[in-house]
Amino acid sequence: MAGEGDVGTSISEPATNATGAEFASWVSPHITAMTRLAGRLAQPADRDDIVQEALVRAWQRRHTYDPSRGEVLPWLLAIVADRARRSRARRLPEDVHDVGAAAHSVGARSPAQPDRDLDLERALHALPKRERLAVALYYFVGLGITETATVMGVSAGTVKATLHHARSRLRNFLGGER
Amino acid sequence: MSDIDEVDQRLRDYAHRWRASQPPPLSVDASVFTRPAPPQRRRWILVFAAACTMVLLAAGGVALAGKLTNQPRPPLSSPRPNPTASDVIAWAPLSPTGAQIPTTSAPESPDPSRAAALPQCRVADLRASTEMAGAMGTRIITVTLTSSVECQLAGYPSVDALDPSGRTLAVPTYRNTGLENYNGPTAVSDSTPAVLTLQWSYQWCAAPINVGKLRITLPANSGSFTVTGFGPSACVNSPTPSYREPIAIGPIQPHDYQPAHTMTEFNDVTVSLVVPHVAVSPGDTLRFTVSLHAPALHDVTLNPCPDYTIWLKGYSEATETYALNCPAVPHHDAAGNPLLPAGSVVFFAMQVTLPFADRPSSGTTLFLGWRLNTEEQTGSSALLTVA
Repeated sequence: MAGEGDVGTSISEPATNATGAEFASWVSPHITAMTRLAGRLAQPADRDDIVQEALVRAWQRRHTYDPSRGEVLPWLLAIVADRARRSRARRLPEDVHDVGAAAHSVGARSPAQPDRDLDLERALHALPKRERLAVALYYFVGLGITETATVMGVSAGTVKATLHHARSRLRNFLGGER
Repeated sequence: MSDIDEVDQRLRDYAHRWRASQPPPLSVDASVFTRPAPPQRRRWILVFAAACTMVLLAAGGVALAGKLTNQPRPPLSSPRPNPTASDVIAWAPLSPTGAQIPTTSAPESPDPSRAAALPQCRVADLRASTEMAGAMGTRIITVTLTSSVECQLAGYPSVDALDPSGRTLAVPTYRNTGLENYNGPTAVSDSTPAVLTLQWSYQWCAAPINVGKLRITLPANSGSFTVTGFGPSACVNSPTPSYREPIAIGPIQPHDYQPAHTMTEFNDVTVSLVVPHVAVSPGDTLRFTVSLHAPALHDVTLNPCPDYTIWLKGYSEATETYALNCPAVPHHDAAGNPLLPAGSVVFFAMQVTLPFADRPSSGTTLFLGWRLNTEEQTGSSALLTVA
């Protein structure tokens, strides 16, 4: 089953000689998904910078996009994941992700949930990077298993196993809380 | 509902709220695509690094897939569907059968028996890197271990908290055995890192301390090393005054550990959609083509024949389920069962009537999805726009 809030994949392709405006038009339908992934993998303040960096990177590398290897959205999301990883690497080890900010921003709209959301957000950040990426793509970006697998460069079965393992860890991180 | 299902539902609910809370994405400024490129040397370094990342991701994925499934790997590159009319199996709205596609079990990966034959790791051969995450409740340090010599580690290390000057602090520890963990020795090399997870909550309400470093002593007392610690203690929501929160120590396990799981023959089938008209209107009958790409090295039987689901999300929602038109597939095995031959692409005509609604505004987005109703729920989706 696809994650909720599914985002579609475009069936069009960028021409290598596309103009900036044509390229902008081509990537526009995917900005929401790219932004969601950046929002999950980076500090809120870095989110838009990462999307912007990813767009510029995609523009520079548009000639490397091979439609026979998959739809365009996974290609763009793989670039976002790469830029987010570089962004994290630029930070000092002490400069940890502000987990509370993410959960509190949600809690502001859902006052009954902030503590549970904070616990879950905290647990999500305790996941190994690979599992965090799978959860971000599947649940938060809303991709299906196959598209998640394409972004991560693994098989669909591996994604399912990774998500299963992530949920098991989360269950244990969250302990007996209900 | 199992605990895992509950976590799944909780994730879905939270993700839904999280998406709703996010500020709108930036708009795409075409001018950024015409700005001068960075200096040539840097650009090539970036391109090379990105290319390496993609190659490693792909190679790692294929290697993992091979280990996990023990089956031939899917093609890295498959032909883009561009069928002629005669290639496409005609649309037939067959009633769903609810067919259950047989599953097989994949063992946990990596196989612990491989690591068991390796020598015990020596601390002199190991390199450790750490990453800390978490805030406002629990800090989690992930220690990644690599080794220049392939070796094995098993079990739980012991951990001592040290202050920044290296003096031992009286911080209790415990083994976090509650995780769904890998059971067995872990192979460690430069290409197969092992990971260790340490957690410490902000519930230290005794005299404040600063855990500047952590001394990690490997299992079987085979040497120790020091990594950056959790930092200053904090007291938040302490269960009792003067409570001293222990450090939770996870087991050493492979970085790519995957638990055992089940899958079907469709695990490596990929799906593509070809939608000729992406500008649509409510009430239209949308005709499109689904292509099923069989894996390169094994056939996929269509007996039992799976159902599939078409779904639409956008200005309105709709879901329709049918049986795949397997009887019309032109390929058969020796027993006469329809199949997807290894490496083939089979095209199916599809159609769905877009829900009628008060005319949504031009440019409204509509998502079209298609998936096989197998264990993997393999599928694809496309983006449509209201004309």
